[in-house]
Amino acid sequence: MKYIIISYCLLLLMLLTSGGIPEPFFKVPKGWPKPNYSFTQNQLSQTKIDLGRALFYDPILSKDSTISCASCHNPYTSFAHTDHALSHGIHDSIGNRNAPALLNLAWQKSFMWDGAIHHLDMQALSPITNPIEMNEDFAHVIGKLQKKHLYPGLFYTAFGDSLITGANTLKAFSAFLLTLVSDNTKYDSVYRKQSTFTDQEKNGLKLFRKHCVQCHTEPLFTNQAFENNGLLQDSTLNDIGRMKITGLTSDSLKFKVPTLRNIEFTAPYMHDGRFKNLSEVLKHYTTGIHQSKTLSEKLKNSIALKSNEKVDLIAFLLTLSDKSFLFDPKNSFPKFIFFKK
Amino acid sequence: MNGLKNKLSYFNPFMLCAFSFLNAQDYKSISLNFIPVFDNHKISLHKNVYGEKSADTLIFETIKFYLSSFKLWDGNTLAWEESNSFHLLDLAKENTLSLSINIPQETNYKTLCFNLGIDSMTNISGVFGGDLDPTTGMYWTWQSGYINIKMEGKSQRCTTRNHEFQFHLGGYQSPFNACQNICLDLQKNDAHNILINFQNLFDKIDLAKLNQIMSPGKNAYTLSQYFSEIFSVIPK
Repeated sequence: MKYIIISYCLLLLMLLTSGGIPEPFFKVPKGWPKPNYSFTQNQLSQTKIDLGRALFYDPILSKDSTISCASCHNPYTSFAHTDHALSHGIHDSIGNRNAPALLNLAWQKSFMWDGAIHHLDMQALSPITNPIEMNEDFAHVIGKLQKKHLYPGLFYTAFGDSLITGANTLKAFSAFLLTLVSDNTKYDSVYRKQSTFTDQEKNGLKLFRKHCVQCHTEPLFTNQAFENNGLLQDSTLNDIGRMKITGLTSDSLKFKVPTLRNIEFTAPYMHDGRFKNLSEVLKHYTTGIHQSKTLSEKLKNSIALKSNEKVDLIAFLLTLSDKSFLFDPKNSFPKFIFFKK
Repeated sequence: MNGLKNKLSYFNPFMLCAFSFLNAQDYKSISLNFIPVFDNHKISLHKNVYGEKSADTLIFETIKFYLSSFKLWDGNTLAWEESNSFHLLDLAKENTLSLSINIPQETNYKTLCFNLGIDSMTNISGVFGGDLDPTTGMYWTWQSGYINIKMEGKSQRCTTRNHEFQFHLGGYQSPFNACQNICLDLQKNDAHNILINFQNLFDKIDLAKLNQIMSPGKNAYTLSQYFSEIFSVIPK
């Protein structure tokens, strides 16, 4: 009888723990909300994360094997494409939007500037198949992976099956992307009472909480909503933003509010990379708002900032930089997989 | 003591599950054969079919669609439902047109219900394998969501390049949630032949005006609804 009870207890314990957050691969930082991603459908393991990391850095995903995810998402700039206003694809094609930074994706509810992708698992399909990005056929990519010496073994260790499927490939991507948690900024260490803000940063935070926080909600620094932030439509791109997905005129010119974490490294800014630095961004919010029907309610009253206040605000924004994330060896090119001794 | 321990170890929860499975009733297999026709002829891809009403010759290059969530009803009582019930039927793969379902021997049923397409919940729940694997080409890549139905071919009525028509029908969000529920009355039998008469669908589409649908919306919704009305059981 004792054994039956013990067995049931063990089973119960297994069921309970499997639904939770998969430590040690992923931890929710103190004070942060519950992640949006459901880990129960894609249990994390080191082998799965390693596989996803290999795929992320492998140009085999593109039609002519020239570009990888990392081509536009460089780990050393928080996985953004610094200095490039618009994303680049194969054959030097230029996309129509700025490649965003990749971090804290477990909390993200939708992906792409217009929220076209609704689940992290499905995200990789888009750049792989987009003709001006990797221009590949997804089934063909799976065929290439199956033939490449490296992958059947990696899939076997990660999923117990060396037959490569689309579903497992996408799950491996997610596994790696979920581990890209950035929570080691000065802002975070002040929250943890391990550090203090300077007077300038304190004043910047005050201004931030007065003018910016309505959309760039702490601690993720985005409310994940779609807003028209008063940018005049670029006539060479004619990007209607969220309206492309919903078909609603009320969504015209709305784009997803991006996180401000690591903003120091992710220039140029906005969905089309039109602003080269943070001063230009603040100039836009103070004197450049373009009035239109769908302009965010939060920007209807103009924001006034004196020049010293702008400096203070930028000083605060720089406390959102996480250098340990940029140079974390677990995020970089996995030499140990591609060049086994 | 050791012997007792060994015996007891059989009674762990996993074994109990196995026993309850063994004790369950016997199962029988029922086959559902879907027969795609046009004007009373079985459709062969890449071959001409003639629509009398529209006086048009059509060629189908691709017909693929999802049927999901199979259930058997006995009046208002749910008699059986298939778990993990997702089937991609592809006219290019004859074997995908016959489904075999295993139901308890004594199941009483009068009605078969299933979805044409993939429900909203599955659409938003991440990636799945098998027939739902995105490598099937039945998942939109520029915008998340399953393509419930792909119909591609040619018609002289299309003024498009090479007279091509392309219908990729899907959408999981209200008000254009394209997934359709279909219920058919069945006679008691171990094999059911279900006719899918595409002529009834294409009679309702003015191919001269509507020949390209590649995204969710009103047209995708309407055509999916028309498609759901062309299923019928062939009486024995």
